[in-house]
Amino acid sequence: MWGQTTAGFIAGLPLAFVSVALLASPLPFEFKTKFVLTVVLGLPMYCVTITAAFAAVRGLHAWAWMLLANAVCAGLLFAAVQLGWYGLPEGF
Amino acid sequence: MKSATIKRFTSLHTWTGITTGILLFVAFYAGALTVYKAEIDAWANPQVHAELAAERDGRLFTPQQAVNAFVNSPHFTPDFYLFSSRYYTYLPEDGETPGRYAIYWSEQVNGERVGWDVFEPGAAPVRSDAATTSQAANFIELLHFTMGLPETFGTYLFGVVTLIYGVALLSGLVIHLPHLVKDLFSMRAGRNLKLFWQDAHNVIGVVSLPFHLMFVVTSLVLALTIVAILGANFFTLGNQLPRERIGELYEIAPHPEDSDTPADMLDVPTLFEHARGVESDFTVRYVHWHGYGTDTAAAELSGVYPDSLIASADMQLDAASGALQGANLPGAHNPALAASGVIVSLHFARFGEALGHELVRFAYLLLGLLGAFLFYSGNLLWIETRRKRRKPTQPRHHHALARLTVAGCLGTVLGISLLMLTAKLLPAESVLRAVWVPNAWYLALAASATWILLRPVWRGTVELLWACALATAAVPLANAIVFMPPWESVIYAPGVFGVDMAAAVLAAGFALIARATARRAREGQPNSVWAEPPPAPSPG
Repeated sequence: MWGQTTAGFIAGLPLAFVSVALLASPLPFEFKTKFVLTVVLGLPMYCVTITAAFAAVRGLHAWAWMLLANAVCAGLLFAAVQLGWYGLPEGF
Repeated sequence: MKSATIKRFTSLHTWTGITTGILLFVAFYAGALTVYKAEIDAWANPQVHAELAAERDGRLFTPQQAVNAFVNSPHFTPDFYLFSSRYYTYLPEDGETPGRYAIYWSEQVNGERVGWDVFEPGAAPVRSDAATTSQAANFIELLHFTMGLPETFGTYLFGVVTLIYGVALLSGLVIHLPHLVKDLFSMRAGRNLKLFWQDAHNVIGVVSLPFHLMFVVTSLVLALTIVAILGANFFTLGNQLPRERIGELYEIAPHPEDSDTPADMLDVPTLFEHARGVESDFTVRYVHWHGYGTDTAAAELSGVYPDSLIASADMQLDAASGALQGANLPGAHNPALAASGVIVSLHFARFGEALGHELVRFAYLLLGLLGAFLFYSGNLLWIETRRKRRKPTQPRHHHALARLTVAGCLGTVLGISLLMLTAKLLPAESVLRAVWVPNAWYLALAASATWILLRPVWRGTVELLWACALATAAVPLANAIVFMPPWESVIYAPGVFGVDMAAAVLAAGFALIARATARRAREGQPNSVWAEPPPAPSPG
C-alpha cells in the first residue's frame, strides 16, 4: 500500500492540476475563466488521482501509471499552449 | 470488480476514515450548528435586549447619520465599512430607514490589519471581538474549520483533512457503487449490532453522498485557495503569473489611487439609487468606502441577488458622482468572484430563496448532523468489526480508539453546550466572558478525555452521553431564566426560540443514545469494549 500511497500523493498532485487545465483548455472561455476552473477543480481532482493510484495492483505499477499519465497530460497541455488554447495572454 | 481491488479500496476507505473521522465529526457538528450562526448569536447575545429596548424606545438612526457621526468623530479614517448592526441582515432598500447601523474599520500597523473596531453613534468605539458581545457563535464557526487549533494552522490542517476525507469518500463510492441501491434499502435491526451500525453507516453515506461531494469540493477551495492558486500557477503556467497580480483575479475594478483633493460624497440613499439604476434587484449587505472625502473615493457595495444561485453580487461606484466603475452581477460575473460566489452559496446554504431558504438551511442542519453521525458510526464499526469474539479482554488499540472517539466527539458536543451556557450566564460587560467562552470548550474536551481515561470505556461513554444530554437540555432552561420564556420568545425572537427547540431535541437524542448504550453494555454481546464485564466469580 505504501507504493500506491506515495504515488498518489506525490505524482497525483501535478497530474491533478495538469489534467484539469487540459480539460479546460478547449473550452470557449477567456484565460481567466480557464485558470479559475483549474484553481477550483485542481484539489478535488487531486482526491481523484490519489484514489486512482490504488487501482494499481502493486506500488511500482501505481508509480509507472501515474508517471505515464503525467507525461501524457503534460505533453497534451504543452500542445494546447502552442495552439493558444491555454496560457497567459500577451500583456497580462 | 476483482475482490483484491475491492479489498484495497476497503482498506483505503477504512484508514482514511479512521485517521480523519474524529476531526470531521467536530467539523460537521460545529458546521451544522453554524448554519444557524445568526440565531445562535442572537441567542447568546445579550445585545438582543438592547436592540429590542432601542426599537421600543425609538432610539434609532439612519445609515447616513451613522456615517456622519463617524466622519465627524476623532476616529475617522477614509477606509471604512457600513453594516447593519445585526451582522447578517441587510441595509435598508431605500438607504434611509432608521435602525441600528455600525461602522467597522481596521487599524493598520506597518500595513497589516490589527483587529476591527466598531463605532455606533452615541457610543464609544469597541473592538469587534467585544462588539459581538458573545463569542459563542463565532467560536462554534471557528471550531468548524480550525477544530480549536490556532486559526491559520487549523485551517490548513483542515484542508489536508478534507483532502483525505475526499479520498475516503471516493474509495467508499468505489466499494459501494456496484450495490448502491441495495445498500439504500438495507437496514438489519436485530441482535447483531455490527450489522445495524454497518447498515446505518451505509444508508446515511449513500443518502448524503451528493452533499458530501459538494462539501469536499467547496471546503478544499475555501481552506486551501492559496495552495490551489500556487499549484495551478506552478504546474500549468510554469509560475508565469506574477504573485502580485493574483489578487487582480478577484477585483471588480482597480482600487482608486490615493488623493488629497477634498470632494463632496454622495449620501447613502443617493448611492443606493445609483446602484438600483445599474441593477434593480440588488440588495446591499454592506458598503465599503475607499478614500472617503477625496475626489478619487470609491464605494464598493456588496450584497445579494436573491433569485440567483450565485447569490453574492458586488459593484463599485464613484463615491462622489455615483458612476459605475465595475460590477460582479448575474450575466456579467468576474469568473473568480462567480466561482467563489457559487462555492460560498453552496457551502453556507445561501441559496434557494425561491424554494424556501429555511427549508435549505434545515436540510443542511440535518445532513450536517447525519454527517457527524456517519463519522462516529464509522469508528464504532471499525471496533465492532475487529472485536475478538472469544476473548474477554480486547486489544489495547481498540480501547484507545474507543476512548479517542468518545473524548473527541462527546467532548465536542459537551463543550459546545457548555460554551453556550457560559456565554449566556456570564455578564455581558464582563472581561471574563471573552476568555471563558472558548475555554469552556477546551475544558470540556480535556475533562471528557480525562474522564474516559479514568473510567471503563462502556461506563464512561454512558456517563458522558448523559452529561451531553444534561448540558444541552440546560441551554433552553438558561435562556428561559436569563432572557425570556419560550412562550414569549416564540413571538418576539423566533430565531432564539428555534435554538431552544433544537437544543431540546438534541438533548432528547443524546438521552436516547445514552439509554441505548447502557442497554448494549448490559444486554448486548459480551467481549467488546462497549460491554459491561461479567461479575467476577465469588471466591469458593
